[in-house]
Amino acid sequence: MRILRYDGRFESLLTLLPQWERGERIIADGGGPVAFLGALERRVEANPIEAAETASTLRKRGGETLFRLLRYAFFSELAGREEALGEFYQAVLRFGREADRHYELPGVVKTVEMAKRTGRDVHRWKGFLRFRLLGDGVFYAPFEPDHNVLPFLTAHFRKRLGDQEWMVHDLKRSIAALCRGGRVGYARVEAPGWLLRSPSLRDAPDGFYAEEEERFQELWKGFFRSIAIESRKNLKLQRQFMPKKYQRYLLEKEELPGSSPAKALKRGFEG
Amino acid sequence: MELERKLAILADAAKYDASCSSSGSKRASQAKGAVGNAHVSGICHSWADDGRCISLLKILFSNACVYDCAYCLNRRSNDVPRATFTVDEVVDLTMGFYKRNYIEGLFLSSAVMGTPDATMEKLLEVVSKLRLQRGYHGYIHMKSIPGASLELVRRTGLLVDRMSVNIELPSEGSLKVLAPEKEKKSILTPMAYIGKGIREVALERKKSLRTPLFVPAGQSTQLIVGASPESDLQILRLAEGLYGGYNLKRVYYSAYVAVNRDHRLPVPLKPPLRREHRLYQADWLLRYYGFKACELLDEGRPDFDPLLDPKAHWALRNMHFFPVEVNTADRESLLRVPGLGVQSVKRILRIRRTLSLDFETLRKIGVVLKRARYFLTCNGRMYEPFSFREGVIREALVEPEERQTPTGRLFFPRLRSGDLPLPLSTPKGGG
Repeated sequence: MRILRYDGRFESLLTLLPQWERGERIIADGGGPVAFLGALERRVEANPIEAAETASTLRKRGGETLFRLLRYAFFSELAGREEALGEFYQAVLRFGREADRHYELPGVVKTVEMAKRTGRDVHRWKGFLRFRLLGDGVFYAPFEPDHNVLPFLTAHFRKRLGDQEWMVHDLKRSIAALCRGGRVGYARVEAPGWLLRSPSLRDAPDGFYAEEEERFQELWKGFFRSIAIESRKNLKLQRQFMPKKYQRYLLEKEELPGSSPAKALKRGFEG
Repeated sequence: MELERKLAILADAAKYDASCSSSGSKRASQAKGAVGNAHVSGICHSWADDGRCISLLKILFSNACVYDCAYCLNRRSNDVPRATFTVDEVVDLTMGFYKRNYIEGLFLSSAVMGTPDATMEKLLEVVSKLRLQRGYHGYIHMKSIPGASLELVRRTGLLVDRMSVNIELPSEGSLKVLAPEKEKKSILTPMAYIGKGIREVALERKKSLRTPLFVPAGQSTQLIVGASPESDLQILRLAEGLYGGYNLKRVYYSAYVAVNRDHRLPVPLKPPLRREHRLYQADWLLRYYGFKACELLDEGRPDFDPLLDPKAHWALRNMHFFPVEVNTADRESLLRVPGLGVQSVKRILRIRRTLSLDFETLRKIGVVLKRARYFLTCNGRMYEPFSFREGVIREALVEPEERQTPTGRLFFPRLRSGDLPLPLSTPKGGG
């Protein structure tokens, strides 16, 4: 077996794709076994020039749509994505803009599917992200996406929030995007333990959130309760659209204080 | 009164309006201090306990109404808590919610305070302040108050993304009985005016992009289903006419919720949700699938089958049209296959240029065959040998748990024309 190793970044993958041959495995650092007995291993380092060339080839042959598809598929972080993308890359070289129609190629089917999953996650979080105003004037949104959607969300909120200073924080991957004056930067940011346990306002230390924050959260929760029609109540339908995993970050689904004594007790022990 | 309390009252009062869409508009600004844009595809931010999506801050400016419409919670003769926002309160709420990504925008309506013009002026003041003073570029849907002057309608249209005038009831007769202070004319005149404005501005913008936007996300309307005796066919014909003649983007159907006890109204135990659902399905067939109202229903069968979706309902009465061959049929024919949606058809058309499609490939490209398999062939082959007869397929299409209640309307008694108690005197409090 032949193995290509790389550091797991998109730029490195773009460097690597033209070198990949069918049958080779691609393994990102930390994403697979440390060693294979009897395997032939090779490491590929990111090369910005080659990466840019690959990107431009993909764009020229496949168009912006297929390049975006590949990017979305990559950031799904699903297992086996690299080999699928290798096959997809070759399909783009061969079939151009029509590559994604070739459902007889398993790598193409998988790429389309992975891109779809990321896309769905991006769209959901565009709606579900909740910014909280911090004491220092930054609007802060913690979240835990299934896929690595931060780069795509950043583009959306940069357009939307204008001059406002904001930070979107992927707690699962400990990466944050910070936007100041319309410019975005990324950084590794570790969240404090209390925040990982509960993003709720009442579990935060004094002064962490701005004073007006509580008022807006209460207004929002009140609106959320009032807008539902009692005689049409349908919690199953609600859950279908708003699966449990998202609810942790949705202020409107936070349990009311004292509604679950067992949980409050548990929090007390842990804190 | 506290803002919390006001918001509770005025959100509660606005909740029967079904419109939630935030799509169809593209608005952006890079100007200093500006906030917000409108996203073409629309974004849902939450779902309420009734399973309806929340994308807009949906509120009334006031619920202190001078009208007395029979079906309405806020009618003058009801004893409900009343509240009225100030302009700044609505502006601050909208900005605060929007910046926190709770909402996609504002949906502003109001009870009629004093006169239609006075009411409309207040609403216009809110949107002017948002757009011109606070640099807000998010989505705004504003109700046009029936009876307000066309000049106010025009000024509003230049600032908002979507406008709507609710038609409320599916016929003039029902309007007279249940909403005696609203006239058909006061609803259709602004609707026609907005429709004309949208058409003209669209033409102008083709010549020059400097032409200011006018209701770029289009206009919509809403009607209440189940409060009056009209059949599904009548309602669908009305919708068809509105889409064709008034350039409407959406017609919303709202299952009647019995909020008032009134001798002019039926007393359903539950809102007719199934019927509302069927109408929405049919509405989609009108807008995206090339169906006509008269194909879906006729005078002999003026209502949908609660057990079957409208497309299956049509298919079973037109068995001669099937089976459809996936590899050669045109778009129009594919769209008529139960179980195939616009997206699936698009994918089929794209992929079959490269591959010959069989059922396995269809599944791989994400086409759901649960219902479609009865109506399709792939290169002349059917999905499985079965008897291609209406009865057999019908049996297969209806969900097993549905068969338990053969009427499907067990809980939704619906009154027909003869059943509606006719008011003998002037309706209570009516003008």
